[in-house]
Amino acid sequence: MSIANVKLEAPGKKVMLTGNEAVARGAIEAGMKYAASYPGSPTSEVLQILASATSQFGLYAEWSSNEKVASEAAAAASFAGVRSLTILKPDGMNVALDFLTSLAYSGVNAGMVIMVGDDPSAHSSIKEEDSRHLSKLSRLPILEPVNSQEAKDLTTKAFELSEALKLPVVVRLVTRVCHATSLVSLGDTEHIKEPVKAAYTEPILCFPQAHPELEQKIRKIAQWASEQHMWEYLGPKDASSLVIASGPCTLYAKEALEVLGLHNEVAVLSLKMTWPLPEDDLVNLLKDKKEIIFAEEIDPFIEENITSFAAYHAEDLGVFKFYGKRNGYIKSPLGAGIGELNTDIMIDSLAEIKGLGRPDFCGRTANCLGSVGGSLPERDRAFCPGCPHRASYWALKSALALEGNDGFVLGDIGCYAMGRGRTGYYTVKSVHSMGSGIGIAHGFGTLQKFDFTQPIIAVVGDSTFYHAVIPALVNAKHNNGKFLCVILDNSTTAMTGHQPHPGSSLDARGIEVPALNMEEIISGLDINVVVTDPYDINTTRDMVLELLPQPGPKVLILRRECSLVVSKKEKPRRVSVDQEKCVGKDCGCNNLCSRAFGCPANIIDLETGKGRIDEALCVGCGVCASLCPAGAITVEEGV
Amino acid sequence: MLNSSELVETYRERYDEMWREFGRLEKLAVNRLKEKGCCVHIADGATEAASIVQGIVGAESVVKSHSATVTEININTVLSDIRETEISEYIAQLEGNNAISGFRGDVAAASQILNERYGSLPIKDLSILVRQDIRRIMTNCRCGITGINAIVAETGSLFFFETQGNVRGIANLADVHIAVAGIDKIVETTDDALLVGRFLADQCLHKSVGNYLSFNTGPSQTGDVEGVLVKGMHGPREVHVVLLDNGRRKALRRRLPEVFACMDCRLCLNDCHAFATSKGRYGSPRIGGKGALLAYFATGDSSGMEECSNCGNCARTCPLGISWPDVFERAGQSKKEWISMEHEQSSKRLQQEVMTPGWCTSCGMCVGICPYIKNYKESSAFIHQCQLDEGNCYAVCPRGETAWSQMDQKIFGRSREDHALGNFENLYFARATDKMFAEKGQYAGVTSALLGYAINKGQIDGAIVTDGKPGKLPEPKLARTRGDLLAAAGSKYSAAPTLSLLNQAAKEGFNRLAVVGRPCQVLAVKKMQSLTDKREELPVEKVALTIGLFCFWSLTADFYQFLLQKTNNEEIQSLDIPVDGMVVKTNKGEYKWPIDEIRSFIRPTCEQCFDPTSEFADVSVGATEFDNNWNTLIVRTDRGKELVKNAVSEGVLEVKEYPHDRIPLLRQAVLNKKQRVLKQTSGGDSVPSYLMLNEAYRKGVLEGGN
Ligand SMILES: Cc1cc2nc3c(=O)[nH]c(=O)nc-3n(C[C@H](O)[C@H](O)[C@H](O)COP(=O)(O)OP(=O)(O)OC[C@H]3O[C@@H](n4cnc5c(N)ncnc54)[C@H](O)[C@@H]3O)c2cc1C
Ligand code: SF4
Ligand code: SF4
Ligand code: SF4
Repeated sequence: MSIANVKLEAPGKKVMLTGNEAVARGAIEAGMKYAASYPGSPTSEVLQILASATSQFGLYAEWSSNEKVASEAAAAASFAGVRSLTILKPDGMNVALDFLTSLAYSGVNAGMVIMVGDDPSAHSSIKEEDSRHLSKLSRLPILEPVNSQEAKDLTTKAFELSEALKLPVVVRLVTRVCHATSLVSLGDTEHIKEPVKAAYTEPILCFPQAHPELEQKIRKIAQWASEQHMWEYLGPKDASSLVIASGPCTLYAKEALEVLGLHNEVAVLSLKMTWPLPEDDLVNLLKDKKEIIFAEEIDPFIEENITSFAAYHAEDLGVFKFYGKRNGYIKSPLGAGIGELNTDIMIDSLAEIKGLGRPDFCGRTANCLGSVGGSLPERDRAFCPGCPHRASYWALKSALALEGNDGFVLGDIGCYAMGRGRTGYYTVKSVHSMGSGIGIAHGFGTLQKFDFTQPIIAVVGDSTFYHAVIPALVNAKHNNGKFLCVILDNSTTAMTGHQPHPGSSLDARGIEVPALNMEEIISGLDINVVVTDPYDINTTRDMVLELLPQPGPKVLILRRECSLVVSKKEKPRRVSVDQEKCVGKDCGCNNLCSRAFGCPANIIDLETGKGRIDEALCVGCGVCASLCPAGAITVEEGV
Repeated sequence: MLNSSELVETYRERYDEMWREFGRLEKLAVNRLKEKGCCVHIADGATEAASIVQGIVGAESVVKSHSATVTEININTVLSDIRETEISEYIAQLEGNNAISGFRGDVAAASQILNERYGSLPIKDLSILVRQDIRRIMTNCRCGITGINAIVAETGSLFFFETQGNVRGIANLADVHIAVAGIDKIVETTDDALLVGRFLADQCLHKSVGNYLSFNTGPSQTGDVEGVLVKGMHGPREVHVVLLDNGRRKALRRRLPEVFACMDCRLCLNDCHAFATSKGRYGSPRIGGKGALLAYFATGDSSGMEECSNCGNCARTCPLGISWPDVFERAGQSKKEWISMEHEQSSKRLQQEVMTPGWCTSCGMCVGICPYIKNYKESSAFIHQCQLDEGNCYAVCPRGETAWSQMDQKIFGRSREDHALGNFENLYFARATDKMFAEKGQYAGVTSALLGYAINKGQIDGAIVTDGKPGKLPEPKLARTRGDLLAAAGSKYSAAPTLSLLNQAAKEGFNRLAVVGRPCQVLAVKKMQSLTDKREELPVEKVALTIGLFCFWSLTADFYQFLLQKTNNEEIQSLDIPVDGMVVKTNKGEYKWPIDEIRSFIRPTCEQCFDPTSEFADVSVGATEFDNNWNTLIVRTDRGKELVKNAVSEGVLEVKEYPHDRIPLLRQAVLNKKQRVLKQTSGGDSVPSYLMLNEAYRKGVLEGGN
């Protein structure tokens, strides 16, 4: 992994790049000059890299306040003749979708590429969404790279295709491709150095009459895919069984076939463009096949398209035996269509399909992990040491308990979504999409007519505030929804790696810009807004209790810098436990600070059974000191 | 040696203590049994217990002694080959009759059955053959099942009482001994077990001692040879104890401790109508009233209870006087929803029995002792779920179960004669001689003056009082000087969580604290001081004086909002509640509201309050409802007596005799309140379970006092 490698001007050189870096590099090689995005795993790095290369390559890059705005901005650049890129996560694509479906109708001018990172197994997402449905719905072609090299190549190709068709093109990666590193042979960066003059000459409109033209374009894409060889056939020509795969599943399938000794019997067709299908080629490719096995990640997307294609061509192609997710042959441990695939899963699936015994293959991932030293202890996800969210949730749950009318907290996605787990004391009761908590809270807050009396709190992040909360607040003000909006303001987009947002004083490129002031925005809506320090738990708790009964929407900003940012600075304070005073086992129901409050830096001294501070982890916030009932925790300033 | 009726009395008293502490004893018993090497199985119901036994025995033959509990779990439905060893059951089995109550014929009938098997022999010879046979099966079976007469929680021993010796035989000869008992068989000490034994001997055998009394503790083992531990040396290698609930816990929750007190002597069956008419099946599978009741609680089947013809003979034959029809009636009276069975969990109980239903008095006691409990605007709540099985929060709560007579015993060492005012030594009109106290005090400043005196004399190093401006939410305060006391004088008519400060002050090093509180707060302090199982960090020894206020109700924090509106935000100078309503003085004038107008602010828990005069305080102070220049002063304990005596002799306090004609008024006001609570108790649906009154106390109040 090296951002420097992305920017190397050394054509032909082979370097190691992650999929994300390769996409950035591909865009640069393709002469892309305008990038806009909203951060989201697993693709956040792409815009960060491009932003760092703005002066070197004369690029423009911005963090937009949300994905819809980002796509619109990128489209404008394309309209004006500047190749552009927008980078999304699937949830982000949902946000941008309203615009994208129209954009397909209107078309674009210069090449415009939409990079989407899907997250099978939802490693850092709240759901497993297959964005390919959205692309298909929008009538946008989808390219799917297998590895970093392909990620770069297909990105460049996507620009060509987009410009040829005047249609945005989607490059879909999955987490493993985004984050895995492999060798990439660099191309030249001449193209990006050519000056462009942005100008808007032709009106680009979206109207229903454009539909026939759009369908025309899609038929052309299929043709282009054949010409450009957007597939690869591996293995024996005369194989009667064929695995059709995309993305990293191609590699899983190949490896599995080798392990099972089936590689001379079963062929693999790797699709680089997964929608629309290269139909003319497919008729030839599938001609003598009897069995078709599908290997793809998240939904049976290719599977459904191919089976429907095969039905139309049944006369020429005969009837196939299909093995896929729909009939349960390709399944992860949690079931078909759930979670990532891997080589082990493909081995098991192919063995079953081919009627072989399950091989006890020693290289299996699970076996390897076992030999490393048994299973790891199960651990919950937890907020970082000193995280202001932990203190915020302690205050919120205390306030609601004391309020006593079954109040609850609605959340959304961000680090603070972990408020629904142990680390946040199970405080958060709903998590859907960015800003959804506040809309739901407003809904609850207008149910008085139906005898609804429970107090409601919505928690949102500061970046989310700019992304999706302002319109919801406007709505709540207008319709008088009664709830408390708590903004957990840690001054950064922490979840995705500390990207700036409109409240920051630096932009994506690191250039100083005026920071927006959220209090002023909220006051401007004539909504009561109060700021407290979440580390001051009692004040925060009492403020929540004071605000809750007030009519209409209210906002409480809990402002504290993300402790990850703090931990990189000098530790301001030294926190320690006086074990003489600590009551250990008799504290609450046993060591309140480590077991109930649960900061990872509060640990139990196994020898004494008393509390202790893990100095390596402690960031010196001192919140535990304010909770310790025995007054055993002390905070020394300026150590 | 105790005579029969003394034995009954001792037994009854001991049981009354033990069932109240059942949670603790059960836990202790289980732990000890395990420590001693027994396998403990806890079965919720009969079927579960039977399948546990089946799991241990498998398809083997098994020897069994007589046991009502083994019968209760229908063991014959799961085991294929049970060999009876108790003689009447042995004969019944030979007869081919598995009648649960054993053989019920006469000697002639028995001889006939035995003759069929052993040939026509005289009874004497028959008995030798029977004995040989039973011995043979006892030695041949690997597993043996018995009941248990008592489980000693302290030692983990099983106690058996019998006349024939077969129980002891099984318990020693079997390789695997399975002992089945209801959870009601748990007692605290070996003395308690012997008490059970003596009671049984006395009542059932009319002897001073039973033929065989055995204590078995864990599997047989020896380490005599080279210190190598050998299990199953002479006696069993494995001992399984199956503890059966099957409705017992529910009975306990419904305050039907008869289920625990009854020790299955079966004397009640002698004249039982239902038993006779049902041909010995009444209450089956466990015979008798206890069986009928347990069947109801275990499965909801009330048919056994319905069979009871109400003859009442059980009450006459039962040595403890248990009247099953009476118990059935109480079982059927559904006063309120049953509370969760996990009542051993202090925090859960506090939550479920006190906080959730809204009975918290905001005394502040639990807040002070647990970091998970906080108080906001005079209501207490858990902010974090406690994971402890045991805790003190429930035990110290004035709305946790409180046995009034036991409180009297613990504080005064006697029960009471006066059911209106409780135990006391003297009743006075009193006033402070210090003009400032008299003026700043609510009435005559007696409370503040007594505190001031105790501080001056070094008897206390601080007083936990309730401070606050009239009209504002009050707060707890630690008063150490006359100035502090003057500032905190005067009544605040809401429920400040004063006691939340107690623990903190104790931790900060105050050793001799006085507490001034509403009666609920005094009760909390006294409950804390009289805990049997005291936790180190509680300020048990740190309270040197408790002054209780009179209190008929307090108001919720919402009242202050009302006050603010009604007085147009004027500055409030004082509040008082004379008989006819509320009087508020502000900087601009005076407001008066009839009581009805503020009634909606009365804390609901105050309607359940049984103690308007701080019955467990050292001294109680109230109004006179007659002359505001005087206080009513009730001196209760020796500590109170000494304090008042000295304060009077040193001229701090002036006292005079309580006007005789006013005593009935005071007593009636108190009785009215108490009777209101009790009348709710017998009818209403929402009465908290905290109040535990024995019959004498209940009658005392209902019948008007002395
Ligand atoms: C809620 C409440 C209801 C009462 N109801 C009655 C009643 O119905 N009949 C009756 O005869 N007397 C009642 N009293 C008692 C009465 O008001 C006087 O407090 C009492 O007579 C003592 O008078 P004093 O002149 O000695 O008071 P003071 O010398 O003024 O001393 C009063 C002491 O009580 C403490 N205190 C004040 N408010 C509270 C509170 N809310 N909780 C705990 N401690 C407090 C103060 O800190 C002070 O130490 C009530 C008191 C309270 C607080
Ligand atoms: S909170 Fe304080 S008393 Fe409790 S375990 Fe931690 S250091 Fe010890
Ligand atoms: S009455 Fe007192 S001890 Fe009971 S819950 Fe309320 S504050 Fe806690
Ligand atoms: S009436 Fe009883 S419960 Fe209510 S405040 Fe007074 S003493 Fe406490």
